[in-house]
Amino acid sequence: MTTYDHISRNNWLTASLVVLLPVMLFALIWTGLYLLLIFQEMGANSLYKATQYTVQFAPFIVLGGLGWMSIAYYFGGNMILRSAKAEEINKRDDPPVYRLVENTAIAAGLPTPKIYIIKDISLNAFATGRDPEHASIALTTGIIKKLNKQELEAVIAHEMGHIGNRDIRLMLLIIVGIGFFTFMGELLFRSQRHRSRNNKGGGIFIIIGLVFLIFGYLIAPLIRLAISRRREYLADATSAMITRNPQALASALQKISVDPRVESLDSRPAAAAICISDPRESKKPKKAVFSFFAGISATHPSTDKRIKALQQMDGQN
Amino acid sequence: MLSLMTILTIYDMNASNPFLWLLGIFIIVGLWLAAGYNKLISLKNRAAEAWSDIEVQMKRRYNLIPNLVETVKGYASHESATLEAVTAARTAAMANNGTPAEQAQSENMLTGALKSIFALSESYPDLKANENFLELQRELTDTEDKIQASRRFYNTNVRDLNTKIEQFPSNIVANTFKFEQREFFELDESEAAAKQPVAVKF
Repeated sequence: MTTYDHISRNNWLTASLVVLLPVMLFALIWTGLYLLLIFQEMGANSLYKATQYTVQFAPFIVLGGLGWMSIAYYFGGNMILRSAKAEEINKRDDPPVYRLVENTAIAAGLPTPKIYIIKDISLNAFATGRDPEHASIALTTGIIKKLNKQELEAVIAHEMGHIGNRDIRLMLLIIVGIGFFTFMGELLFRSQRHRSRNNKGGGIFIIIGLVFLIFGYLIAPLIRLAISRRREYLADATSAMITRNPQALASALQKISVDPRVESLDSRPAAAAICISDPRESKKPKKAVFSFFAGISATHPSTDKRIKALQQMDGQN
Repeated sequence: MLSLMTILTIYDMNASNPFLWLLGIFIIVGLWLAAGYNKLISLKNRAAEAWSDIEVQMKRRYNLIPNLVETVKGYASHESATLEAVTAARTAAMANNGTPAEQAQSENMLTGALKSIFALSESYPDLKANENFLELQRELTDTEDKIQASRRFYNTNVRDLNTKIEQFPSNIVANTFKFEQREFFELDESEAAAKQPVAVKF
């Protein structure tokens, strides 16, 4: 699969995701209503009633879904950067790093992304944004300090790979789009739980909230897992193609694997999927009360496998 | 139902018509040719765009050099031979509009001439400490890195274009419409001028 095939595949996945989200919303709300009606009335026509309510909700569901996706599309990148406590720098703040990013962008044939620094002594990096023209790269102070120039260039080139392959947009929509379900779920669930049990409307919201939560915590991570691993290999390959130096990325990954934990990302497991190496301390996601982001398990192939793939590349080039 | 019957009848009447079969084949071949042609055009334009990126960086380097020469003159006026060599190399590189290989040659000459300026700065501590000179040195190093970066991007695009022109079956389209392979741009893979200042004693 060439890079261009990958880009068109990504575009296709992104488009279907945008369509899929409202569809899933409909399905979930319908399921929630149906279950509720079965429990409450035992009536034979709960199927009909559930469908009727869902149709009544339809405009709100569509508007809500599309509205959320637009927010994710336009502001998701900044939301992720802010949650990682990343600060933007310009050329004067750190000329060597700025130039390195600039040059890597030229070699990748992409516009220079905005550069963000996360004040953390650990080693990690990620890229985000809606397209190459609105992309950002975030680097920890640790990764800048502890890698040599070639290794840092390889890491930046890996992130350029994500930008060029349009991984960033897809991951953005997945992270923020799926975050919608857990967010709404918690909101509905918590706002109604303490109210009176006799309140029939409240019951609906609790059930729908539960269905959302189940979806957000159980199904969504599977989607994210399925999409994210292969991307890492491809971005590694793109990095090797840009720098012509797969060995540098291999040794960078080795160094990163020693300490990839970024403290500001501890409670944000979803953002972990876009980092060059999983930034969470433990593999168990913490359950944040008002968490935007759902929990997931391993999003990255193991460092050993990635290094092996890079070394094979070196032999062939 | 009636319309379906009509279509079937028309199809029946024409199924054995060799002219319609030929027409169908022509349309399919035409679409295939168009797709192949468009692919080649986009590859060709991509390579051309990548080449203009290199030119932007080369121009940036040309623009930095007069400043450098002026700065060095202030400290080492009797090194006029080296300075003239740089100016001459710059003029030659700017005037060169030949093939990538020819341009690479004049760019390499310029890189070599610049190297000798940074080498002579070793014997002039005042010059070496000059903030303006240091800034120019950094800028030139960076520009050479950028030339190397845009060169890599250009060569990747040229490889894609050339592969498409040579590969079957797109080579048929390429030959029909006279697509030409582009030349790679090969610079000396030496490190940028200022990175390894040579300690030359006069």
